[in-house]
Amino acid sequence: MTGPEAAGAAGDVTLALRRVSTSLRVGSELRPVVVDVDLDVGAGEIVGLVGESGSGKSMTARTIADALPPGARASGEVLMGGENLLAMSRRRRRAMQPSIGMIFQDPRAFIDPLWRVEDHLTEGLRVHKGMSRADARARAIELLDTVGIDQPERRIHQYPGEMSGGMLQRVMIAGALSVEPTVLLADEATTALDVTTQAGIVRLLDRLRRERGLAVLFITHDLALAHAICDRVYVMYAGRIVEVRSGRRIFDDPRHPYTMGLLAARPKVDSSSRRLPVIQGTPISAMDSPAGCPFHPRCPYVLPECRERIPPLVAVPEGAARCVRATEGSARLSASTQVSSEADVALAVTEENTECS
Amino acid sequence: MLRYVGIRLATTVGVLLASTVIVFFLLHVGPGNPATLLNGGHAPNAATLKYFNARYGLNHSLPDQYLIWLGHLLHGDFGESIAAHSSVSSVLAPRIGLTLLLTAYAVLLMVIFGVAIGVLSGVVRNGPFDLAATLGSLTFTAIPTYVTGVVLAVLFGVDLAWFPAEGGGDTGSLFTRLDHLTLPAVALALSSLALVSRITRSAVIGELESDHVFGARVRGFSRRRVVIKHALRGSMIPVVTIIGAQIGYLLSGAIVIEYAFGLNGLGTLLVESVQGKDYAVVQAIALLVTTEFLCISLIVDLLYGVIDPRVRLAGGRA
Amino acid sequence: MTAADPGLDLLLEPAEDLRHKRYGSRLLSGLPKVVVAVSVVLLVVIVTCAIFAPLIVPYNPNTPDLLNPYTGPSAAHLFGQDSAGRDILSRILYGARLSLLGPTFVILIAFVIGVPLGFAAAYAGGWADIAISRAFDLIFAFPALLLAIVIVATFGTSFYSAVFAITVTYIPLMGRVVRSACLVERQKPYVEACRLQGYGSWRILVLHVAPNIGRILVSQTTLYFAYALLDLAALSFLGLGAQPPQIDWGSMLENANQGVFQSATGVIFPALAIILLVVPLNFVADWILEYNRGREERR
Repeated sequence: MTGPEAAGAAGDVTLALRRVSTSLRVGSELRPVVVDVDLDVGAGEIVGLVGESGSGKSMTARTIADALPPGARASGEVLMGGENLLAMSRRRRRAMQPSIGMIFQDPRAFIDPLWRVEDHLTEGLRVHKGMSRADARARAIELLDTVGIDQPERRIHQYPGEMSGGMLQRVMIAGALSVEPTVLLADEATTALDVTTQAGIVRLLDRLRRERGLAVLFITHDLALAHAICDRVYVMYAGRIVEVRSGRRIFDDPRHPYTMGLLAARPKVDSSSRRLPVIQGTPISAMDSPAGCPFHPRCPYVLPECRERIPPLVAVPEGAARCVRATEGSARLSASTQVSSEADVALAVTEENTECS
Repeated sequence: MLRYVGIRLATTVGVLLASTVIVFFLLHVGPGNPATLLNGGHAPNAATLKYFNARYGLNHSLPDQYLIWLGHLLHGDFGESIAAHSSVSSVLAPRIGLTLLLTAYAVLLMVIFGVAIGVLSGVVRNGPFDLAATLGSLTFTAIPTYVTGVVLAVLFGVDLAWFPAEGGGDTGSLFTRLDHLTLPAVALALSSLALVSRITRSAVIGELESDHVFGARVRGFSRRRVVIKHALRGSMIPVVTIIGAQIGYLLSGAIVIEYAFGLNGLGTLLVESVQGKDYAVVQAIALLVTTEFLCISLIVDLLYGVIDPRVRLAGGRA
Repeated sequence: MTAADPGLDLLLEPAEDLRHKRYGSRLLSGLPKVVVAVSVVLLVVIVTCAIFAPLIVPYNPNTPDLLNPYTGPSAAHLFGQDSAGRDILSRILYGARLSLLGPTFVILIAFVIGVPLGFAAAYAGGWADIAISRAFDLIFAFPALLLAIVIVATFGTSFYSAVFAITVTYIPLMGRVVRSACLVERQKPYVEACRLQGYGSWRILVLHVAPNIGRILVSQTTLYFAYALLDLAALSFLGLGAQPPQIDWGSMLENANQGVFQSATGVIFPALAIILLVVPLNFVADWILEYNRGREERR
């Protein structure tokens, strides 16, 4: 099953995942966490990868970045420049590493508190690019400026402890950029930040992808955020891609029941629903998936065939969704359960499954 | 950094002074009066009493007595040794060298082997080396130095005769001295070494599992670089802590080991002086060793400042 | 199918709680129950021997046999004879009494004085904390054994003098453990919750904090018992503790050490006795700390 080219990737595809599956070693067994993922990120695109904990989104990123835990196994293809990263020799793979930048949720944990900012930033330059200390420092100052840190000549001598979280996040981005990657993986990079700082980081990422043609994979659990900034969004559930749509469409016209549930579950300022709609049950990871569609135990629109086989990705406007009822659209689905609005759809979800939570 | 050094230095001097107060205080808190205590537990005759009164200002107020005593100390005058009938300093001087050599030897063994074993265990986790090292360290941490000392003396000194079992080789060359001091130093260092290696191992593992090491690995640096430059530096903090903590035990343990091996150092002198009630000597050695201890602690603290910038910025440990 | 880089093996662990156990790691990450059980049994045996020593000794431990010094183990003397021909086995059994009594006194007194001081420092805060902590630091300025030796020098060499001296060095240790544990607990949200409900400091302390630090306290106390035993034996070894005709393992060791050229075996028994008491205590202390803690923390 090839990826959804219909989603309209702009320009060349810098990073392509084809049927990527990853399993982790639990005890003496291998349990799947990522199953058959197809994903494209083009140059200059910001692509969102959305899911809750256990969905496999972080593991997907780690598979790309060659940062899996001991004993884990990955299959499929991670293609960059035509080569499959998963099939390379260790040496070659490590040589490719600078092309993939990765930033994380907690900059304080990922930057060594005992090193100065300068040391952190110049390390990549000196090791991977063979720059001299002086050249690397000059470049580092430029980078700090690029990511929007003022007084870079002063900041460069400081320790992480002397900087705020938002600033440190920018430093982490600078570090990732220093070796000129073509792909940037942002794993919950804005989750721990307050809204204002978050906006600043997002603007920065946006500028970087435009100016440098960086391919950004933006991983988050916040679908609304992804909708706001991403050209295209992939939604993951239980290790699989369940929906891929353009950023705009996924908000207005979700086609997978899980996505619908995620969107409806956000509290709305203007609505007066009696209860906060939630999706019944808890999210699962790939290793706990039942037979058939992984979402079917929680799905308000489940049909008998959903229990039997995993639905293929079905084309829908500006994307695809992995649901046998994907083409029905939310209007028709609502009609089939005899309620009239989107908010009420989600309410119906809670009312039909009448367990009190 | 300078501010940090300043604060630490001032604190050390303060504690040193306070410790002299305690030692002084003990003299007056013991049974009988100070003169009796200084005279080996016997009430002094008139002449001796007159000497003590003059030397220690015993008819002055307590604070004055302290100052007089402190004044003498700072001039290097520790009083008279009743056993040796000469000044305490003359009795101490020839023995200091051996004690310092023994202690230094033991500290080196503890640091070099303890850290090396710990790092190797931590990096090559769960292999046979690690298993052996961990079992070994668990055992030796619990065994006291003098027990080890005696057992080692028996095993290697008497039965196998690899090393001399007694004496400090005072008359020989440096090599002879070291030869004689090897068993004692090993005995002294062993239990601390075991502890240091265990802590080092945990620290190294903790660092290797940390997020920032993960971050370094993700940035594509070689394993060698990541281990050496990223993991090891952070792991040194708890290691320096434990080394600093063990120095006190090493200094105390040196006393016991010297006695056990019949070495001619300050330790044996101390014990003999206690048994012989030669109080002035006891006081002097106590002060000397405490000063040594505080100086080493200061050096360790300064090392912290070098390794961990957070400490420097905060101006001192909480 | 490509395996993830085996070089990463040593450096990475899964972010989620999917840690896997490697071969041998169980041995290193927690003591097998067998070891702890054996330790407890050993301790019980030794304490029993100490209590019933007068009833089970084959010989009077102080009766000399000067014609037969430094003999090795034999049918008549299971552990051999020491420098004055006295039966070593009997001396070991009798020696257990003082060797155990000493640390008991030390720990009891240090506990009774140190623990309240630690609580006071942690809870009263302010001046009390500063004063108490400084007092502790002052004692910590001296290497412990050295301070003990000076105290013994001041008060004369005897069993009680040694106990007193060592106790002085342990009071701040106990106090510091309690203070640190309390300070850690104080940061926890449940304490703040109690305070918001209007509970007074003492109530919070006694009903809530004390039980929580109980585990740490018991474990540390056990460990300190072992260390106090070693320290007291060290003083005896130096001839500064219990004096003859009193018997304890430290002085036995020293005595044997002097005759080490004549009989190496005389050293073994007191050494073993000490080790067989201290090592199990270490294991038990560790077990107390770890027992069911994993379960508690997952609650």
